[in-house]
Amino acid sequence: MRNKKVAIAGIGLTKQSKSLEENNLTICIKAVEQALIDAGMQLEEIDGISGRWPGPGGTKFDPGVVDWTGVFGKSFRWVGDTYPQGVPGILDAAAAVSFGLCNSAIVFGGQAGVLNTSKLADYTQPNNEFIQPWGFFTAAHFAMVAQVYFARFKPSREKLSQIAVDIRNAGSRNPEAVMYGKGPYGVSDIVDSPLICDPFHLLDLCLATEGASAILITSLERALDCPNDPIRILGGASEWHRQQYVDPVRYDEVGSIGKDAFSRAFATAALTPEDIDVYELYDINTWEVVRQFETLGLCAEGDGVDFLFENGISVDGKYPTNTDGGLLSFSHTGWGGPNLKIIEAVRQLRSTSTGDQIKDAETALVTGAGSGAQYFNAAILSKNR
Amino acid sequence: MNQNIDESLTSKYWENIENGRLTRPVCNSCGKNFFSPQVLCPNCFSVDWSYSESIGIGKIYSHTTVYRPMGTGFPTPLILVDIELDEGWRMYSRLINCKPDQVVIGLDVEVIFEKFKERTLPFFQLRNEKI
Repeated sequence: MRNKKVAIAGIGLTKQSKSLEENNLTICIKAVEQALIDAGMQLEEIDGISGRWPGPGGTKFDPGVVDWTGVFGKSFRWVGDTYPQGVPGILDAAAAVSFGLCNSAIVFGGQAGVLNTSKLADYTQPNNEFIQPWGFFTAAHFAMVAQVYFARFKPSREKLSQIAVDIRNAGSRNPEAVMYGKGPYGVSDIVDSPLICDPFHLLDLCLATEGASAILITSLERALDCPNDPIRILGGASEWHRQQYVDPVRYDEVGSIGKDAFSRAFATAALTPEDIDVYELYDINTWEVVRQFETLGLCAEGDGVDFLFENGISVDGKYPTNTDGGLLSFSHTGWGGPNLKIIEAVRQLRSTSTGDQIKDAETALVTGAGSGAQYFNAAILSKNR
Repeated sequence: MNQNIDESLTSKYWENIENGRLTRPVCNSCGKNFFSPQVLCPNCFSVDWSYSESIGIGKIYSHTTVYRPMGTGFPTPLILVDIELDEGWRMYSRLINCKPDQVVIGLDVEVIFEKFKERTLPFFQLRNEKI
């Protein structure tokens, strides 16, 4: 049996907002329906599914993904249960399609009706007995990593802030971004925003918002019959260092997490980081963007802030990054949030971004997770040529 | 889903904390420390390990001070620390009895047991007041 070439044939994206009057299930189904319409396909044709069960309802057994058979009223040939979604979700689905486990898979996730109850999103505060007593939350884990980098390399706080400025201003221009119309931001807005957990200020940190997204993966052969140009998944890889948000996370262990994943992904794709036209990187905070460019090998460890300041990451910069406004400004929908990077990459490659469209973009890099999470993943997408 | 580690693994740890003793798993087979507690020693896969007393002295590997009110009963500023214990293991804790601008990577710290939310926790404090 020959492995099949695979492609993204459809994407779905609901309204993204600080809170939505929906629930987790209804919002996810909306995104799935949109992806089906986008691909010109019927639900009957979908025989693979990867959607981390968001509740409420369901059997509460693991893997919860099987509960979707009840929601959709149909059976499937392949069920994925990646934690979280995004890059691992599409890579697993691509492997399943390529190997013939299923013909067409839908990867989706999101949240709605859950964020208006507390100041901090619940999923940022794992209820682990060695974490909870101290008051840890996601941004604080990342701050522990960044603190060591800051002490060692003493990056310019103003130049670092330019990253937040560029990404947030892209979101301000994007009518679909949660923060559309806010700003424009300058460096002083970032450094003058309240310190949340040093070294991070409020505007260094990503959103916690609501909405859903879906990605439909099928064989390239099938995708060629769909209304939109197929977007190929040329390569991808993941790294899992340690259980996230339990044991202390250390810069000396995870400062360059992603090096191996990038190396494998680019080798599979037969491309180099310099070949990428648009970078959709997991910007859970501004410093993680710097860390990823250093890990990509585009600049040396400790030089990333100066490097990005000199080269530029906005639409007219050398390394256009997070063209939709990123997690900082577009949206971050919990476990389904990593899918948003893929949605924007697909739109860029189709030249249909509602954010800053990069002219004639042919290759995109998407990433997920980061140092503070102790895992990382990357995929390279391209127009089918 | 309960995200806590199997209670039988960690109940002794918390019992020791209540009694003012900081302990961590030490493998009886290979002698290595590890934390958090695991069923098998992550170094040699032995199930033969036991909680052994730590001197509770170490250095700050990293830290962050939280300024945002957490809404869950945590005071701010809240100084979170990653401690490298002298026996070669690590744990998260909170630094108390000092101000955020006194905290620097590499400072010597020692454990101090205090009640927080009706339970005893292993906090840390700076080891000498010369700073």
